[in-house]
Amino acid sequence: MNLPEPPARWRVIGIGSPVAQDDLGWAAIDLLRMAGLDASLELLTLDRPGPALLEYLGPGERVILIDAMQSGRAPGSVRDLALAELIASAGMPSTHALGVAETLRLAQALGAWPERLHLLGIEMGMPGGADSGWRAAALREVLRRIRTLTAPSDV
Amino acid sequence: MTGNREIRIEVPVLARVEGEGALDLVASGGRIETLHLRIFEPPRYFEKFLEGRGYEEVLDVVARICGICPVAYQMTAVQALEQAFGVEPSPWVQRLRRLMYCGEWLQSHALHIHLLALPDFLGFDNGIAMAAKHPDAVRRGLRLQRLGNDLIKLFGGRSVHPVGMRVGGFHRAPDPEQAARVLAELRSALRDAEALVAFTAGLDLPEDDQNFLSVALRHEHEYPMFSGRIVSDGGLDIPVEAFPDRFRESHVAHSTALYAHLDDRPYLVGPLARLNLNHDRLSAPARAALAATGLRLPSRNMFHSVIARAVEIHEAVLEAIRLLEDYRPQEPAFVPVEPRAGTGFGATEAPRGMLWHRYELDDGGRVLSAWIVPPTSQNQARIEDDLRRSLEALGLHHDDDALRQRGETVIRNYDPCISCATHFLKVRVRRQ
Repeated sequence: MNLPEPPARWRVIGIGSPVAQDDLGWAAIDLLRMAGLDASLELLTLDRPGPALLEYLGPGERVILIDAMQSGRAPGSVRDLALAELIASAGMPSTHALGVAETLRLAQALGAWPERLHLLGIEMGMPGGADSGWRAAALREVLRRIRTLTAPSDV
Repeated sequence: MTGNREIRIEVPVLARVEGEGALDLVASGGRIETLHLRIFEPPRYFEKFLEGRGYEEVLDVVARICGICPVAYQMTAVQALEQAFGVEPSPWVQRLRRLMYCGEWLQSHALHIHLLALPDFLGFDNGIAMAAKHPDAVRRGLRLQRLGNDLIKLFGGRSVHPVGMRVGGFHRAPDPEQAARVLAELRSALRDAEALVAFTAGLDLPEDDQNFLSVALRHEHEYPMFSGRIVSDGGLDIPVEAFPDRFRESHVAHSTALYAHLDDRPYLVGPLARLNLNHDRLSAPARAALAATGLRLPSRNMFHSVIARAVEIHEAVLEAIRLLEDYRPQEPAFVPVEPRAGTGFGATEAPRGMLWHRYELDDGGRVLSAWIVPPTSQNQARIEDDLRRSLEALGLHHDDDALRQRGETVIRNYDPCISCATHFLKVRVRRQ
């Protein structure tokens, strides 16, 4: 008897620049690795990928994106961003500004939308600003949410 | 007659270009009275930021001028600094720099053609709307763009603001296994690149011949990218150092970016200017693919720029394959540098056109003064000239939307980078 295909591993991608406050996505992936989640999840970091992000999205795939955000909330706030809202807010691509929202719209237009997709945003502080512990707390919160989102029962 | 009415056109937002600017147009009696490409992006003061900094910092600073063409800024600066210090990089370094530059042409041109320009010629508002109807074209563009980024990463560690280059060469030689993987990708992409030339030549491009002056570098035997003399189709043929003798930058009230003129005339830099002046320097396969399109050069139709970009993608893929096939690692990947007081000049062909730098340094290698002339600021006067001619040729009797659409198409065709020019666009069309 044919067994059903096991579900694809979750791919968790930290997006940003490895320097300054834009490194929160990268730092989150580091913490997930330290927590041993690389045994069960595909963990990646991408340096401002622009449309190259499309290579990591596709039908049937399960993807979580982690990115720094600036939304006016307190530094370290973690949000599971509503993708529909994000996509609706995407601007038209310019030479330099094909960001995550625009790339997700392009993925939708190209039929490359994953089976499951989450975008966790971590509110960044001011560059060079004081860290009163919000950073470590935010990364722990991301770890907790990733564990919940990718729990085996959630297939 | 509608063509004789007084019109004032303001297009407040121009999409698919980089930076902040606008187009104001006033016309009367079927003729344009005033046309201003207003650039109000705040000045970015990079030249001043460089003053007092050591030569080792210059490449990291100038890379920040642009996220799409950081390699061009680095290549031009490194050339000027090496000239000032009397350093001659090895032929190995020069070949690899040309290879890295191929990556930037590939990624920049692929993005422009497929996501920014094609919607204009295929009748879509933007690349995302176009992607649903032409997914294969968009995917081809994304493949080529990624390939360009992979080439840059080979040398620079990353494709945005790469960090691998240094005065005298590179910090390290690219990894041979990684280089072999990129070579295999380039070979796979060759068919895409060749097909793109025919595809762009088959587009229904507006017919609009104009008289303009093309300016580009010209090398003894290479298609110009990293070096050459500055030439024009008006007979100019000067060394890079002589740029200030013939080219003049000036302020205009409606723009925070400088305008540039050659002997008081607007001029064109960029892919079409390069191809007009250097099509005989293309490699044989690129010449053959171009010949198959039937395009006659020099071209006076600015909309042939999209074909020129495709030809340059094809050439860049061919050239990158040629250079990578000969690649052998070499350590150290640089020659030692002893700073000294002096002045150095650099000029290279950025994707958007010729980029010129001049640095004056003290005996410790600190920057005393920096002078950077980016391609978009050189093209501004030409863009205004083109807009005036294109809109009058289209006919001012057309409605506002048609004029706005054509105006935006004309501007996007130059792939302007307003931030690089410090400097760019929103378009305002108002009828009186």
